[in-house]
Amino acid sequence: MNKKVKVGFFSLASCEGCYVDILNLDDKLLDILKYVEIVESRIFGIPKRSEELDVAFIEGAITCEEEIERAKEIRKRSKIVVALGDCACSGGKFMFKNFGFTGAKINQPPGKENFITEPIDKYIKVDYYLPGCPAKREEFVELVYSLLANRRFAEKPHSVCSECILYENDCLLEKGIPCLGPITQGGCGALCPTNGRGCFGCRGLYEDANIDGLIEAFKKHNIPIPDYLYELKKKLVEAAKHE
Amino acid sequence: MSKRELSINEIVRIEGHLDVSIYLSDGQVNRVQAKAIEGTRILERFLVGRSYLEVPEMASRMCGVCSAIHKVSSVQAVENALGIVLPEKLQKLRELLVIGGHLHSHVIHMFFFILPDYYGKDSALDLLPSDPEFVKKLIKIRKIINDMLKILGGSLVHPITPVAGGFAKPIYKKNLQNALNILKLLRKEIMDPVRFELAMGIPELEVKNTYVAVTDGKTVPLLHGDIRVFPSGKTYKPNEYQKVIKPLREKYSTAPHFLLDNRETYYVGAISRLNINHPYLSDAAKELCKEFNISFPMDNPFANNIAQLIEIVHYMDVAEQLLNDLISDPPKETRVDFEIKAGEGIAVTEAPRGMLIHHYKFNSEGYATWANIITPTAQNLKNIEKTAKAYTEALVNLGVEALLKFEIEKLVRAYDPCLSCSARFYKENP
Repeated sequence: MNKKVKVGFFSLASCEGCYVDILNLDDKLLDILKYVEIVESRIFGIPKRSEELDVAFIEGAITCEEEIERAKEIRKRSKIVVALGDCACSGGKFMFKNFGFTGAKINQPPGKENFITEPIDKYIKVDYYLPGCPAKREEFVELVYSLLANRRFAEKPHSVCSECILYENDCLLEKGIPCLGPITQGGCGALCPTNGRGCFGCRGLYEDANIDGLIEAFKKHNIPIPDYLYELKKKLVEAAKHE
Repeated sequence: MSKRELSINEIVRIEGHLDVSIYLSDGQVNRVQAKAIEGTRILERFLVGRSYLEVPEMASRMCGVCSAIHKVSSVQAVENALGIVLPEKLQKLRELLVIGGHLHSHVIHMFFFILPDYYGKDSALDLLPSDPEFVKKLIKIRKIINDMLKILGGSLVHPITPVAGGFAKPIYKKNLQNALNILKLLRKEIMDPVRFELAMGIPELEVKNTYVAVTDGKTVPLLHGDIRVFPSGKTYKPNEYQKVIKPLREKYSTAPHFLLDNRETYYVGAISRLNINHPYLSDAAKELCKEFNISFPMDNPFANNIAQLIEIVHYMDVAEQLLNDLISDPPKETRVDFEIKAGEGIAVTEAPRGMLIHHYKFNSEGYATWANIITPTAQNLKNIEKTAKAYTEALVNLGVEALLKFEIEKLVRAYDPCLSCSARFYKENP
């Protein structure tokens, strides 16, 4: 390969944890830098240059007009746009369980009084999604090498639950600990359940999610059922009607 | 009359988005504004209505760099509300995790954000061509600390293990032994870069500041203690924080600003911790101070960098002590039992960037009804304005205005600001 691929890292409204987790790649990041040049990134200390980009990684949700403009501007000069993390992929909906939550009045400067939180694909075309809170750095590496080698990169076709079973972990639901593993998109290696804490669903809904089944399982093990499960179910029913 | 405004937009190598505007006329500095321009994330709103299990998960999303302390502070506030008292050994494990987080954050700040300034470079990655070995050493240091965080927290960003009542999974003697070995490796690698930066020194700038940090009169505390103001010496209990720390709304900023007693700007961070608690530094940290002629208290806004370097050494010593204690007598329980009840809980702790407050109210079913979080950078914004004004005046008097942008960026960076956590101000009825 003679020319390095030009990438930029951008952050909208977020905790920048996805960014930090990419820094956490440490020596693997140095390997990537053999093929990739970071031409714009505040956290790496590379200021705005407004250059054309091969790949733009965007982290964070959209919460105001400026961020919509920023996302559009980045899209215009990038061949590929990647949504990095749950905030960019879903507007933070899965991490924060704010399904159907809109327009709270907030004490903010004029023009920003109405709170919104939207995924970036509401305003711009997104080519790849790296879900999770934070986005998984191993998946980031996988995507980068897939792009370099012109290979297909696709979502993992299984749930967190099936990954957890693969690790032979004890089932947390059976211990009475709430866990969204059965309805959550896999790919994280069941990190949270493996560490003894229930899945929070940060990677979004798994394609064949059976929400009714999970509600039944919660009931069976005397776990209080959170409202957002019903909200999610309602959303799914509505979405099915539109199809 | 010549009036002009110097704007420094999106300062690089800090966490989050911050602009600084300096208003000058006739060689006089009229005003300096620190404008948080980060989009608003109203995290406290998300916390309301969530169960005590979920609150710490979401609160840790305040910040990706210092997620360990946010997670632990949040869990601690939940425990405070539910009346849970942690056994001493689990408390020590929590402290270890938090120290891991502080080391992680200080290393990013000192070696990846600050270091390029000494070389006049944009980014630590720019040092790769000229000094690849040094950069590889820095990356190795990060890797070592990350290994430690993984053992204690389960994940590098947003640790998984701390939950109300203790830990989600047991941490065994062999894990602790591993952590101890890692710590020894870290000590071997980190001293050179620490000495290098201490030898570089800081710019001269004396500004009288008020410093605020948590204190317990016997250690440099991270998780428990009273709020101490320096130099006045006034001390407040954690539950009195609302009496002294008052929010202030500035139209130009999406983050709230804070004043002490409604009038005084103040500094939180490593420098405040050490100005107040320096007698309790570890022997090795004191030795290092002697070696470089450092004596606290220091009244220079750049001294936060020095304090962080000294803290790196101090925390390694504390961590080693904690690990030795825990290895000789490992914790037998993972999690204590508790009952869910209504209550109010406060945690006043020290994040890498300074004093942090989590405060929640829960109903009898364990759902949050109210939440308030005060982050260090939001408290520092007013002091950033004050010291940036003083520094601009000094530079204008010296006739080196051309350096203004570079130098003010350096000053702001010394505060180790983290805007992601600060830009969230929410009120039900504005």
